[in-house]
Amino acid sequence: MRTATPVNDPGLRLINAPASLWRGTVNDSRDVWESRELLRAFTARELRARYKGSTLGWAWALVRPLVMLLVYGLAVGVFLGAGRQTPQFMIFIYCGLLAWTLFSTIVTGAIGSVVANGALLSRASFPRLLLPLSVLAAALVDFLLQASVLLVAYAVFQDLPTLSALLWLPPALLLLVVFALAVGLFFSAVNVYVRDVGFLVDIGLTVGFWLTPVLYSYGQVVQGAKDFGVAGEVATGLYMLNPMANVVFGFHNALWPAVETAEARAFAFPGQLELRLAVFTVASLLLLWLAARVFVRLSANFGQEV
Amino acid sequence: MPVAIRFEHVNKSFRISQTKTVKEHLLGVAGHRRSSVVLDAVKDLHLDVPVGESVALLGHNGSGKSTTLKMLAGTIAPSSGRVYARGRIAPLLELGAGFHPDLTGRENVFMNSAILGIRRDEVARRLEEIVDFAEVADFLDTPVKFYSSGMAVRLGFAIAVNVEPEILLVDEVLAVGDESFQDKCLGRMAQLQSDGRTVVLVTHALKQAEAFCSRAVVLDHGRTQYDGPIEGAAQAYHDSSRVPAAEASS
Repeated sequence: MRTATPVNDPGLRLINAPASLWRGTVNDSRDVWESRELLRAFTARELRARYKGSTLGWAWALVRPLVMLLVYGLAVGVFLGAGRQTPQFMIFIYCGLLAWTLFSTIVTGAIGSVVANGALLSRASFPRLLLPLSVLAAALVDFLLQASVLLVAYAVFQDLPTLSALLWLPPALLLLVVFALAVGLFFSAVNVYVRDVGFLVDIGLTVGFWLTPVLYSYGQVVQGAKDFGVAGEVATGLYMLNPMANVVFGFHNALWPAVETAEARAFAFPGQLELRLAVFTVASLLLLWLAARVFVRLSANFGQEV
Repeated sequence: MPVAIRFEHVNKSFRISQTKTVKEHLLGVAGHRRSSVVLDAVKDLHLDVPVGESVALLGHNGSGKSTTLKMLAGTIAPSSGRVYARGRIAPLLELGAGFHPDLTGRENVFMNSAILGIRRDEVARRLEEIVDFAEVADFLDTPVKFYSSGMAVRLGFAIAVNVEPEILLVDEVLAVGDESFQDKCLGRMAQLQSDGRTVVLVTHALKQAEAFCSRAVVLDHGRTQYDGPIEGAAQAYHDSSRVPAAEASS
C-alpha cells in the first residue's frame, strides 16, 4: 500500500503543496482565472451585504465623498480662501477625493476582507487572492457611482472635459489600482500575523491623504518649498515620489475641465506626467507581483491563524 | 481500486507565535526572549486511501489529526510533501461557519456552493433537495443571522452532502444538531458510503469510528502510530501518549 513513486495517474490531482515565495506565479494566476465565477460571487456578496439593512442602501456610497467634499469645500475653499483662486474649485477637490477614496477603500477593504472571512478561510479551500480581489472589484463599482456625481457638477458649471483630456483617466486609474492592490495585498497578509499593521495603515492613510494634492495644487507645493531653498527642492522631489500624487495629477488633467484654461496653469502639474505615470506603473506592477507572492506565501496558514 | 487520497511524505510544522504585536516583538528581541516555538504537527505522513474506503483518523488532542484533515481540505498548506486527491472534496468542517450573516439562506446556499466549486445552474437544480434536507424551507429568504445554530449547521451539512462529493471529510461534525438530525446525517453518510464514496472521519469517539470505518490511522504527536484494520485501532489509540505536543517541545 505504501509507495514512494511519483503519481502518474491522470485522475489524481495535486490539491496541496507548500507555497513558495518565488515559484508559482503562473499557477496562482491560473487558479484565480479558473475561479472567476467565485470571484464574481464574492464581489456580489461584498456589494449586497455592504448596504443591506440600511435604509439608504446604495446611496451610502455617495454620502461619504459628498460630505467630505462639502466639509473640505467649506474649510479649505471658503475659510482658507482657496476657492477664490482655483477655478471650479469643487470639481478640483472632488477629482482628488475620488482617487483617494478608491485608494483607501481598496487598502482598508483588503485588510478587512482577510480578517472578516476567518471562518471561511478555516473551512474552505479557494484561492485566497479572491478575497482582496473581490474588494477591489466592489470598490470599482462604488467608484463608478461616485464618479457619476461629476456629471451633475459638469451640468452646474456648464463645462465638460474634452475627449483628449479623458485619455488621462485610464493610465491614472491603472496606476491607482495596481499600486493600491500591491499595498493592500502586502498589508492584509502581514496583518494576520502582526495585528498592529491595521492601525499603522490607518495612520499611514491619513498621512498619505495630506501628502497627496487633493486639497491644494502642485503650484502651492512648489511655492511653499521655495522658502527652504535646496531642502525645499529635495522635498518637492520626494513629494513627487508618491504614486498617488501622480495619480491625482492625472485625475485633474482628465476630469477637471478648467485644467485647459490659462488661469488654471498654476494649479496643474507642469512636468512630463505621461512619462511619470508610465514609470510608476511599471514599478507598481513589480511591487504588485512581490506583494502577491508574499500574500500567497503567508496565506498558506491563514486557515490556522485568522 | 484506484487511489482517492494520497499523502506523500507530508510534514507540517507551525511556528506558534506567542506574541502578536510589534511591541511584544521588540520587547522579545531586546530581552532575548524567544517569541515563538516550532511545533511539528504532522511528521512524514504517508497515506494512500483507495476509492470507496472509509478511514478513521484517531488520536488524542494535539496528535495532528485535525491538521491532516485541514491539509486535505486545502485550508492550510503542508511545510513539505504533497497531497493528492481524486474528485470533488466536501469538507464537513465547522458547518455553517462560512455563512454570511446578512445574506439570506438562499444567497448563502449559492455562495457556499460556489466556494465548493459547484456551478450555479447545478445548485439551482438541487436547491429544493438541499432545502428539504436541511428543513429550512420556510426561512429560505431570511438572513442567516436569524437562524438558530442548529438550522445553520443543517444547511451547511445539506449543501456539502448534496453536491455529489467523491470524498467526504468529517470532523466531529456529528456532535452538533439534535438527535433526529444526527440520525439523518448518519443515514445520509452511510448512503454515500455504500455508493462508493471515500470518507475520512476524524473523531475521539472510538465507537463511532468502529461503526463507520473499516480502517483506522492512529496519530501520536504527528507520527503515524498505527495504520490498519479498525479492530486493532483501539489498542494503539490507548497506547498513544496523552501529553500534548505543544507542551513537550517548548
